[in-house]
Amino acid sequence: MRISALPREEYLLPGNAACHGCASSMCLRTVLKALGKNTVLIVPASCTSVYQGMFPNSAIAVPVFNTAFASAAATASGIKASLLQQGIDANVVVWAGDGGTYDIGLQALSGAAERNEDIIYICYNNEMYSNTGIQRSGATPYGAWTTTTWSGKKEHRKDVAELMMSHEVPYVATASAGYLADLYQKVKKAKKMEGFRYIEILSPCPPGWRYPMEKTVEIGKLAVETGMWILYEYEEGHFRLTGVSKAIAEGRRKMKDIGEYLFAQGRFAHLSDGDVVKIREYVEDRWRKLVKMESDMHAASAKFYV
Amino acid sequence: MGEKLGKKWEIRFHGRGGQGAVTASKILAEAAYLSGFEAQSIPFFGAERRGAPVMAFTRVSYEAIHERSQVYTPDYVIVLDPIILDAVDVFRGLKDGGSIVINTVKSPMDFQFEQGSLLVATVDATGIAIKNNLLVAGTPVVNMPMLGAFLKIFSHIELETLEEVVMKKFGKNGKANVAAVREAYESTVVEKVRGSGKPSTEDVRRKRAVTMPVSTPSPGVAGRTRFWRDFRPEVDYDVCSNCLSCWLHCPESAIQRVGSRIEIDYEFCKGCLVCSAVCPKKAIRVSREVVV
Ligand SMILES: Cc1ncc(C[n+]2csc(CCOP(=O)(O)OP(=O)(O)O)c2C)c(N)n1
Ligand code: SF4
Ligand code: SF4
Ligand code: SF4
Repeated sequence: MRISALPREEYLLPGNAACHGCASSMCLRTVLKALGKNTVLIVPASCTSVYQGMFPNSAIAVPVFNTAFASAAATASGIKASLLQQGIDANVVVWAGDGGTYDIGLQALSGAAERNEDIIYICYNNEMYSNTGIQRSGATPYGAWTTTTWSGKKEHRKDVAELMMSHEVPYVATASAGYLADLYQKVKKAKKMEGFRYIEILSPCPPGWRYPMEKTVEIGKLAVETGMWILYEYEEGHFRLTGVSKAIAEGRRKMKDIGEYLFAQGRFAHLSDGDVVKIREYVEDRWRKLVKMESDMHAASAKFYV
Repeated sequence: MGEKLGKKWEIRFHGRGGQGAVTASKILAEAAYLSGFEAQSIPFFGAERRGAPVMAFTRVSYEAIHERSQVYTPDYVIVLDPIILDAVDVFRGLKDGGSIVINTVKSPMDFQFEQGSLLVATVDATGIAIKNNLLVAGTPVVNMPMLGAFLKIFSHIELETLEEVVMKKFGKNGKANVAAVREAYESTVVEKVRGSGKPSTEDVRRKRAVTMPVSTPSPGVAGRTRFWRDFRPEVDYDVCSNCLSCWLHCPESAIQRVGSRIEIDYEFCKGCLVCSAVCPKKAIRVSREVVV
């Protein structure tokens, strides 16, 4: 799509308190352009609840409801029900970090997904608790340094987007700050659908990931180009890779080596060769799994239609 | 029934801890229910120490009540304590043309407010409580006489229904309470009083600070973020192809589309240099920021 097709209206106002080169704010700006004015945002404790500013001012030009860490999806369910009662049709959207999604808000998220609440849940995944100074989360990848994993995290990350697919909600998508037009289109699509929609955005964080502030987009792209982050959509039971991930799966693009992504960031600087091998294996396994998921899907639908 | 559909009354009680505002809101709800209405009573959860200002709410309606919130714009206000008038703005949110019942020895004309007009009812409930020996730990309990006074201006509940509920609730103290209810009902003075009709600026400011904290969208919540800038991006318009990549990626909304070209807002640009990094034409030059 042409960039000029994106609306000029800004809903994330300048002069907010996000760090230089923050992908969370960059993506929120794009997301709000896709959602438009008729939107209520639910934001649990996170960097966003800080960079949005303090009472009596807000950097976000749609109504924002700040809610307790554990309850974003439950709060959104309630707000949606209340708006329905009042006959108001609006996009009710959670905007939460990975701490508020993978760990602390997981039960509320799972409950809302299972009830198929008519809301959009967007997790900006910066793979750690940033706001409180970089602690590990369930989304932190193996080997990454955080202030609570000084010698690198010993476990692989869990994957909430896949967990959402297993809830069989109408729409699940992954996106990356490296591909904002793709993010815009996925949010636009989600907005038109009904029921529970989950979008997860890989959101690089310069101070937490330890890379120069101007490289946010580049890092977001490298994650996808190396297979560390995979772009896909799951729509009404159908799974498909999208964008660069799809191009790689179809052999139109070569996958870059994982090292290009890892060693562009200070948080992985200490990795041993063994660690890199471990991450490479993990990435290859996941990649094979998702590619197989897509081809199984094709085979199944081919069978169905003969 | 048609005209009654959607009819609902919201009542807010003000008192101090220990005066029985919550009990009064419950008893009123029960009397309303026995009179054939849907009713709801809600205590205000604050620091409810003895003597501290407290609130309670009652909703009475012809239809099922779905709200579970506090009452912010009452039709009726009941003030159990004359002293509280100095500490709390009991008129806050009260609908223009609404009613207020105040425990006071003053008369209705003595009260000032910013609504256009209100029905003001006054009653010396403290005097009535003392006379009927309604004292707990030496404190006059004025809640029941205040309900009696309320029924003087709220005609949808019969005095007898209220007395029945009070009798049941207070057991051996029932008689004294019922006597107080009746005495208050009979001695309440009601008058229509005109208010100023316009809020003073001081009031507007004070109110904003005590109502729901709703923020207003505004640029610069973190101040003039130009002072965060160490490096200054500058567009070379001779090279720029107007591809809008920088506009799309600026995390700060600090690049604007002005007519057919892009412009950097130097008041808020933080100098993150993402724009320069994503420019396919290398059209954004970077220099050290010199703060003047
Ligand atoms: C119940 C509770 N525990 C802890 C905190 C402190 N806290 C505020 S934001 C935050 C980190 C949030 O991390 P994440 O959800 O990943 O968002 P990010 O900061 O990365 O944007 C924490 C721990 C809190 N506000 N509430
Ligand atoms: S710490 Fe990271 S996520 Fe938080 S505001 Fe800064 S750059 Fe954004
Ligand atoms: S330096 Fe950063 S904040 Fe300034 S215009 Fe460029 S992208 Fe926007
Ligand atoms: S990215 Fe470069 S070429 Fe494109 S509009 Fe911005 S300055 Fe011009």
